[in-house]
Amino acid sequence: MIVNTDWNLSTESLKFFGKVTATVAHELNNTIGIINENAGLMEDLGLMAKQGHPADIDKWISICKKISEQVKNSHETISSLNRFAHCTDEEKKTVNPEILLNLVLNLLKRPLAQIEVSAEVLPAEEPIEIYIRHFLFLKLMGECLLYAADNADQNKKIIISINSDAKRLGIKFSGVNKTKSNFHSNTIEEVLKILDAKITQEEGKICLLFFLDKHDSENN
Amino acid sequence: MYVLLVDDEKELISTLAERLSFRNIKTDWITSGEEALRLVQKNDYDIAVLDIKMPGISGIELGEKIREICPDIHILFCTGQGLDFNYKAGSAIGGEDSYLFKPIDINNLIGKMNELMEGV
Repeated sequence: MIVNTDWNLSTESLKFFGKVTATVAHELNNTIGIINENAGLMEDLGLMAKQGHPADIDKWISICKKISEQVKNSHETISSLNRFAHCTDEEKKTVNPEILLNLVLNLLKRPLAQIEVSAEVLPAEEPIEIYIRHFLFLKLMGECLLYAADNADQNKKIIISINSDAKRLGIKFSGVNKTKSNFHSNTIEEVLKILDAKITQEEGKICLLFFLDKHDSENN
Repeated sequence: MYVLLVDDEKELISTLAERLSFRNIKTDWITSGEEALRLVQKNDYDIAVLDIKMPGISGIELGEKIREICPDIHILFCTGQGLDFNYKAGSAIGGEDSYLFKPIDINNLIGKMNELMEGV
């Protein structure tokens, strides 16, 4: 059987795009639900006050604060989705991997919460910039994060660390139970090939190594 | 009417419970399926309103287990999703038209609960 890897990769990329947008849609729907309930509660309290019940002003203020907080959270989620959507504008770009990892974390916080796993990106020792196919990079990071979360050890916390030297970028997802199955698929292999990266699994860790020239830029 | 609300969104479910209590509907709320099963064994609920997508046990699985413990309880499912919801599995547990879409309209919820209690 002839397998068209370009087609497979496009389909897998679209699947990832769909997964992220569906996740965000679900998150926003929940936020709207919370705003809806709090607005309804304010209306209930208003109607009760009209009927002569003592008005609880502190409670009204606290509800307003909750609504504002949800609006702020939604704004952050929408900003992340917008940044994610624009990752398809250019094929390659100079990016900060730490910022992209935090973007992935923000976009996928709901599926992680669903399995009661938390994750954190440790700040890099110094700012790192790489010139890369950033959508594929995001997809790979997203797949790694979801795999790591699915196979998290008893602490249920994935720590993502970044390190780099002149020519290489390393990203580690720690807190993984090593007894579970290996993380591999044809499309992952294809993405690794395109990004000139390799993946290994060590004791409790998924390690990615990108063979990049950090000083590579759009002009090169 | 004694109602159990189950949803992992604490802020949403606690506020909905408070609003139901203003309408003289006795309501308990809980954010996990496992805790919900404990409450169902302890209390005599008329209706359980279950979110479909929760960490750990899903709403559908929870509905099946609640049905085993309390064969007479009425079950309503809440979902924020249209396409993913398994209507067949949901209807098998809660009956036809046993689902509500988020954001929940409280009057719609109460209307559905009254219909269930009256056996419409």
